[in-house]
This record gives sequence, structure tokens and C-alpha cells, in this order.
Amino acid sequence: MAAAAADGALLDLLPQIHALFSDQLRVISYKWLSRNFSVSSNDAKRLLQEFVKKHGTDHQVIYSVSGWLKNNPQNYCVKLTSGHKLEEARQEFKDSCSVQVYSVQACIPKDTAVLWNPEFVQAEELFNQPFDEENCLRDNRFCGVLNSFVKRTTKGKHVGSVPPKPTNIAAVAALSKPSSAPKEQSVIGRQQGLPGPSSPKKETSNKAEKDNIPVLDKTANAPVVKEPSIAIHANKAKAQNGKALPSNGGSLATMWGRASAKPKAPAVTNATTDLPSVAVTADAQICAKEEADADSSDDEQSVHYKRASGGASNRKRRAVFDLSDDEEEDNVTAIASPEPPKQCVTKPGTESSQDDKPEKKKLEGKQEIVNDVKDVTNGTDSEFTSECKTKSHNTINQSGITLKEKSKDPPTNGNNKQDHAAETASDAPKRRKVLKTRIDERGREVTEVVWEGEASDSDKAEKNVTSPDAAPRPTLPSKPQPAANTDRSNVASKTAGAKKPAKAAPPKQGKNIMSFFKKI
Amino acid sequence: MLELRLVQGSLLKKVLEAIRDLVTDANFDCSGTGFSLQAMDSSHVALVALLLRSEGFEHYRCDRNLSMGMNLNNMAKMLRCAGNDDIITIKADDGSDTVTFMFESPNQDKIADFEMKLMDIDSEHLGIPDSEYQAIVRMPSSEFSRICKDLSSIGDTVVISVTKEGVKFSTAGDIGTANIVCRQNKTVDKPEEATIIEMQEPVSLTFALRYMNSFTKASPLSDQVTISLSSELPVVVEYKIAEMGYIRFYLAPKIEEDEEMKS
Repeated sequence: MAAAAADGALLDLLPQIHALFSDQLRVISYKWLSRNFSVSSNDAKRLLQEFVKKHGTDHQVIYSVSGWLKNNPQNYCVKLTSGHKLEEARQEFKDSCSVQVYSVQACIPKDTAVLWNPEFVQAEELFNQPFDEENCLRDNRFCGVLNSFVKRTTKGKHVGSVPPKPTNIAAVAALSKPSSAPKEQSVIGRQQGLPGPSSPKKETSNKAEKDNIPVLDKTANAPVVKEPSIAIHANKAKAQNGKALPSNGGSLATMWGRASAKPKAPAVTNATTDLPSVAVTADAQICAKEEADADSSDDEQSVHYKRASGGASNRKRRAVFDLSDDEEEDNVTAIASPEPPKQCVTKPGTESSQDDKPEKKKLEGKQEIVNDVKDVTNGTDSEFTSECKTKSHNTINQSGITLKEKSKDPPTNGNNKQDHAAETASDAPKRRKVLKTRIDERGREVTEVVWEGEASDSDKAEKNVTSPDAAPRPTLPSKPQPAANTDRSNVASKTAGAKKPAKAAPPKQGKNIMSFFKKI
Repeated sequence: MLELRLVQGSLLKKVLEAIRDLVTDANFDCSGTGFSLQAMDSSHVALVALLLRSEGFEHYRCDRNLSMGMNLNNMAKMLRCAGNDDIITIKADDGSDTVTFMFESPNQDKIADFEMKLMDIDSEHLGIPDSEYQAIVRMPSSEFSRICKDLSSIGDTVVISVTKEGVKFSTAGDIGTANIVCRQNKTVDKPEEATIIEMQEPVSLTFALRYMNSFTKASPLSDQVTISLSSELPVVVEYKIAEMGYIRFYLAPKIEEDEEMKS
């Protein structure tokens, strides 16, 4: 071929085509290619042929087959056909028909409008350029059909110079899919960021801005029809912007163009109806989220606050082994009231802090033995309560959980408490009523009301328990640890909201991100 | 002197909503190239990198490189005061310890100034190399978000496995297991709904769903999300911000326990 030399340069475009093709999932037709890279349409076809040869499998090809038909009143026909129907289509033609690649795409689009959309969009853009702008459609330079008698002026309004082909396309487009085509225009034209169409676009929008909104609407026509709200919006903003920053108008216009292009993008065919809703939901999402966040942040604050005060206050009477202290405290705060110690029974507060829970539980389990031992050694007044105390104490300490408040308000012992009652009362003027739930050694759930004050944090373990509560207390630890433990774990898992993985060896978060990247 | 005017103010709001779950305090770095942020979560397991290029702003003036430490929750609070259509301008003077957010309503009849105190934040800046990934999955961001949400109701971790056929998300929990497979779907009719898998070799990694779920907060920024996986690297979950830049989340994979023993 004569174009062999030129082909070298053309072949350099192949990677670009591939990128366009795979990254943006677009239909690449020879017309679009020709205009976009300013190569002749024949070269563009050859290029596509080459592309098909090279990357044969991962895309679909549409061929244009042209020639005289076999049937009687002989007609010249140009037909587009997909790759696997090519042979079939060829049968209809007489011996010599030409087969050229029309376009390549990732898959055969369901809506054929998609095939010509990009080139229509492109043609529109080129035509909308100012008349003094030089582009390939102005002088029809890549058309296979040329008439040397036609004179073209590049300046001034010489509408006659418009080549016929594009208008045809436009007409077709208008007929079959008036709305989707223009929409696509703005999308593709702006998204591709390729040299040809994009710079002209800027030009037009600049001009449009100067001239005013109506012009803009004309040039960017599609959005107005399809998506009135966005278009109006853009206009408004533009107008406003023009006011605010006259010097800067051009870039603003392009920005708005982009802005509106984005929501429009999905609207190639039937997606149009979805679009507004998408936008709306996105906004709604944010709003909803903001509200939710506002709520939650409030919650958080109050929780922190409470927790702090709860931590400071150590006057509780209770025997708890379950370490879900902090949740309970959270719940507790709701009933907080500076009143004299009273007793009542309510249902347990069961929210739990998620992650450290399982760990705690495990540790607790491990420490059963230790606890037992301690229990024995401890051997103080009331059998099991003291045990509970020590146990929970141990677990807290050994698990290395750093919540200070928690370790400061250990479960306390009824007897001890009574010993210290007077003292504590004087110590702590501020107290609150607190509900505590625990599982006793027989696996029963015990709920009691505990008074928490703010004073005597420091005197730790031997705290102030005012009085034993209404819930039955087991006097004999007959079925000691195991039952209690299983029960506890049940509660824990319930409260943890099924957060624990069931796997025996769950994956660990082994490394942190800093082991992958270097500091700079 | 710093002055950044962003016509799409809602974009900044969305960005803040996307990262403030993960990071509470962070330094925003302003330079000639753009407005950026890099921060790790408190456990240093995840990292977020944000870039808003200067070209995306309607007006961008940054006389010298500036790093502004902000509490993201406070910043979000202020930005929530901006309408979705408002134009947001970020202003700061050299040497000042405050930043000003100015919100202009679209028709200019309301202008609000919010001044926020800056804070000093010690942060380590990490160099993130450009890496080749064994598998890159592009899919609708809403789909990804849905998957993470669904799986997190079953288990704590997600195993993401990429094969030629598709990408599989699986989890296991107390109540059972779940597997979701997304197949490759190249559609030119609706490119934003496409699922595209570019795979050099199959890869399978485990991640904490908690982080994945906070990454998906960026979904309003982009129709599509890109997930890049390599066995020795953190996963990258990227949301492109139209015409402006991106927000990328990096998350270190979890390691199976026996592996950990070995190493």
C-alpha cells in the first residue's frame, strides 16, 4: 500500500485506541477516530483493522459491508453488521463487496444509537466551534468525496460550506433518538479530555458565556431538553459567576460544563429517568447522614461524659463478674440522680463494647483457676461475692485493658460494703443509682441497683456496697465456674452483636500500613 | 495567602463525609498542584490519600506550601452549614492559626463565613510507590458498598478473591457464611454499571470489613470504584472525583494465623 510509510505513524495510535477502548468502554468508530486524531477516514479504517487483528478476541467488531445487492432491482447498499454475522451478510451481496471495519467496542450495544452517538456528538462540537476555528469538518478534508469547485471560506459565516455528511447524521439522530444523542454529546465530549474536541468546547463555552445564556443553551443544547434542572442550574451559576468574577468567566463555564456532565453521564439511553433520582438520593443521603451524625455525635459526647463521671464515681454496691461495666455505665447514666441510696430491680443493661469483649471473656476463662485459688485465700466474709470481686479484678488487670474507670470500680462485696457504708456516705456526696446485672455462679441472672458516687475512687477494691439487693443471691456456690462462664459467654456474645468470628483461627490484622510504605 | 474557590461545594462536603469516619485529625496540604491530604487511621492499619487538583477549582491561589491541621469532625460540622449548591471558598492567611470557609449561595444573596481554629498535628507522611497490581477490579461503587454492608452483617472480615471469571467476596460468621460473586460485565450502554476485571494472576486477600465499610462512605463521589489487589500490598480502593482528582484508601490485608506463626 502507498500508505505503508504513514502507517508507521498511525500504528503509534494503537495503544491510545486500546486505552480508550478498555478504560472508557466506548464505541470507537472510524469516523470518530478520524476526526479525533485528524487522520483520513481511510487511514482510520485501516487502523481499526489493524487493531482488530492485534487484539482479536477481547472485543466486538462491527463491519460495514457495501456493494450491489443480489436481488433484482439492483440496489447499492451499505450495511452494518456484527462480526459473527459477517458471512451471512455477505451472501446478500454480489461477488465484490467491500468489507471495512466500522467500529470496535467491548460488546455489541443493545441500543444502536450508542454506535453513532460519539461521532454525532463530536460532529456537533466541531460545528459549534467558532467559524474562524480551523477544524477538519470545516474544510471537509478527510472526506473521500471532494469537489474542487466548492470554495470554502474559513472566516465569516459561510454556512454553505458545511459538508453534507454530518447534517445527515444529525437528522438521523434527531429522528431516531432525539434526546439521548445530545446528552451523550456533553458527556463524551467533556470526559474524554482529548485534544481535538475539548479545546474547541472551551472556546464555545467561552463565547457562550459572553453572549449570554441562550447562546449557551443552543451550543450545549442537549442538557436543556433532557435535564432541565441541571441546565438551569448551570445557567444560573454561570450568570452569577459572570457577575462575581468577570475576568474569570471562561474557566467557570467549563467547570459547570463538567459539573453537569457528570450527572448526565449515565444517561445514554433509558437511564435518563434514573438520573435525577440518583442525584437526589445522593444529596438525600448526605442530609440523612448529617442528621444521623449529629445525633450520634451527641450521643457520643454524652456517653463520654457519663463514662468519665461514672469512672470517677466508685460507690457501687454490686457483685459483678461480667466485665461489661462500661456499657452498663452508659445505660446507667440515664437514671442517674443524686439521691440517697435506694434499691430497686430492673432489667440489665446489656449493651457491650464490642471488640475487647471476646478477649475479656477468654481471659476470664483462663483465670478461673486463679480466681478459685484467690477465692480460697481470700476466704473472707461472704463466700461468693468476694470471689466475684477478685475475679473480675484479676481479669481486668491481666487482660491489660486500659480503661481506667473500669478497673477503678470493681465489683464490690456486700459485707465489705456495709462495713464501709458510713465512711463512703460521708466521702461521696454525689451519687447515682445504677443498675447492674451479673450472672451468678449458678448461672442465674442477678440484677441489682447500685449507687455510684463521685468521691471515693481511690479506695479501690473494698468499696461501698450499700446493701444486698432484691435479686436472690446464691448462698452456696455449688455449681461454680463452668456454668457461670458459659452463661456469661452467652450474654457476652449476645451483647457483642454477633461480632465475633466463628472461625477457630480468624485472620489477624498482622501488619499495619506503615510496614508497606516508607516515611518521607 | 491561600484562597481556593470551589464551585461544587457539595463535593467538599462529600469528601469530608467520606474520610471523617476513618480519621479524626489530619493535615491538609496545599501546594501549587492542589489540595491534598494523607492520613492514617488511629490503628495505622488504613490510610487515606485525597487529591483535589488545582485545575478543578474555579480559583486557586496558594502562595506557598501550607499545611493546615484540622479536626475533621469540626470541619464537617462547619461544612454542614453550607448548602449543597453553595460555592465554598477556603481561605487562610500566612502564619494565621485559623482557616475560613466562606459559603455563597448560588444566587449570591447569602454569604456565610465560618472561621475554624487550626491545630498542630504530628503526622507521618508516607511515600506511596506506584505499584503494579495483580488484579484490578472496577465496579459500580453502589454495588461495592452494598456488598460490604451485607457481608458485615454476617462476619467481620471479607475475603476478596479475583479470578478470570469474576471477583468473589466472601465472609463467615457465627450464623453462617456468605459468598457474592460479581462477573465481568462490559457494557457500553451504561459504562457506569460495568464491572471490569483486569487480572495478571489470581489473588485472594482478607480484609477487615469495618474498614471497607468506612471506605464506602466515599460512594457519593463516584459511580465507579476501583479495587487494586496484590498479595504483598495493601489493597487500594479508589474513588475518582470527576475532573478533580481522587480519594484513595489503602488497607493492610489480614494475615491468617498460621501464616503469622511462620513469620
